[in-house]
Amino acid sequence: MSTATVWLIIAAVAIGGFVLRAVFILVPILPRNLPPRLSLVLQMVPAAAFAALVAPALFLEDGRLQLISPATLAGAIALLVSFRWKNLALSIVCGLVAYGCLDLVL
Amino acid sequence: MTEARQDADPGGGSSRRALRSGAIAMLPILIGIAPFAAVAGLAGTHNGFTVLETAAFSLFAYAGAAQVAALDLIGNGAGAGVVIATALIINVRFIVYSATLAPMFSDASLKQRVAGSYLLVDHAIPLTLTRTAEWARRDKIAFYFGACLVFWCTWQICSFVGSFLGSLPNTGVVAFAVPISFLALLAPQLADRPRLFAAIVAGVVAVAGADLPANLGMMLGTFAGIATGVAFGWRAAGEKSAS
Repeated sequence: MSTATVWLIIAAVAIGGFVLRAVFILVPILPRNLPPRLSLVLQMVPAAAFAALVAPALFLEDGRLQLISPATLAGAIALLVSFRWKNLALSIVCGLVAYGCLDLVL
Repeated sequence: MTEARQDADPGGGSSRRALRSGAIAMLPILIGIAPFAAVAGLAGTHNGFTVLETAAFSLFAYAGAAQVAALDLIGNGAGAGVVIATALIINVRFIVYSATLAPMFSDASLKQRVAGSYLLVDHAIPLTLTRTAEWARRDKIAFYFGACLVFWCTWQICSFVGSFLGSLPNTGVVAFAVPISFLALLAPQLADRPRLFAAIVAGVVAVAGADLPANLGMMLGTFAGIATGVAFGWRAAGEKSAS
């Protein structure tokens, strides 16, 4: 990826992100109560996007489907830790340690 | 003497106190954020950004999960358009927060509005709303800035430190840091049925479409997941709007 493209991406995500954050704060005339069905759509975005990002990294190994692997087991551990203790850092650290150990063993 | 000073600057002391209590209230959350910010830095240099470009990405875009997703896609060879679209889709949720905070900023200066928008992060919103419910507006804003500023400093420092880890030999653990971070972000989202089904469908479609060009599989997965979740929650949301 060329340097120009890198800076294009940085600029676009910076400007786009600022507009998304600022739209209601900077433009006070806009109605603040989003229709419930629009906020429903927006609520679904993080769950769907994170799952779509993470699933291929967990379940595909060199393009082949693997249901039981260091990645899926470590992922399951990270999920369980997160459900139990609701702690982002703990969940990341446990998942990485589990992956490191499982990768050596399996 | 002190009274006279207070008259000259009404509420100045209370704003400073509010700023400080916002910063303190954010501290426990920062412990959880530090490793994720380090992953954001690591993902930068791991996927071909220089340390400077990684720092600029954190500084200008300050986009959290969207930053990590964008860098991950760049590493997978996606084009600029796909990278930008994905990052912005992930950050569409900021619109909701912007609307939530708008009443608090209704008589704030332009400078405060711009700074408050730039600094907006997920974690500051529920914190500010619950802790400052009965407060005067200027104190609410001070609390919000206190919380946001310590978050911002933590993010910049930890992602900068993390960017020096990205050039480590490409061991599995380094490569696995990004997916595991997304998983840790995903878990608290799975709190209700619509979002649980949205995540399952999104994951299945993304895996099935992984061979498609231009990261189309991830895009299709995201949209299929959103559609599924909306289908599950549609009637309940409609009832809420009717009441």
